Amino acid sequence: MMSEPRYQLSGQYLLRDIAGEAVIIPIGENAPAGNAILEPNDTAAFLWHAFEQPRTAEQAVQLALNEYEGDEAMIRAQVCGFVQAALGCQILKEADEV
Amino acid sequence: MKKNWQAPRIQVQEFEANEYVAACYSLYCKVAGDGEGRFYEDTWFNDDVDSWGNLGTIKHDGQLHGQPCANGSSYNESTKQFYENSKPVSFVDSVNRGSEASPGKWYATWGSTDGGEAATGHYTHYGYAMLDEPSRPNHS
Repeated sequence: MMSEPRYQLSGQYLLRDIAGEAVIIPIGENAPAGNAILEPNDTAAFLWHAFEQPRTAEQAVQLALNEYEGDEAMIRAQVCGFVQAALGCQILKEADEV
Repeated sequence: MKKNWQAPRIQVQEFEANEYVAACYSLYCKVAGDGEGRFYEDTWFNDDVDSWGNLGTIKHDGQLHGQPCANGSSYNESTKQFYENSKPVSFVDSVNRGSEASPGKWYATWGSTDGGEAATGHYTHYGYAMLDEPSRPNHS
């Protein structure tokens, strides 16, 4: 049986708190958003921190459900959408096999 | 108490590098001068330099270096060109700025290709890169 893929931060970006606002800064030469500053909202910053260690999308959903009030199906769908988008711009990558 | 879930979003603010953020500095060749702008005499670069700052060995190019590169050519990072008397004279390649020798002054090596009518080929230079306006490091 295939296990669910786990994801983690790619290392192409840094998240910093500037004047109380989370800001994502591209640092990698190959970061697609190399000429940009990224401003995550609260939930995106939460997911960023969730993937500081390798997790599956479902594990991130469970963390979000512990932290936030909302419709579970919607949260699950939006976390999965976030993961796909973050993979696309190389904020996340598939975690290395241990 | 749990916070209300909002769709995760990342707002992207793109910016473009422009003239304001391009540092301008001058490159002063040490083959025919002191590396800080003073010209000594026309000099053939016929011997390797063992080390220059942290930049390792500098291979000689066998070219005759003269006053223009010793007196300094302003280098604009945006255009990748030397400017002498406000006009491009040579195309620069492989600028390598090494360790800082003193504030606003770095060990440097670079190459150039003579773009004039009497083109004389490719040159290897070593010397110092010095900010044109040390008080305005981001100005070009």
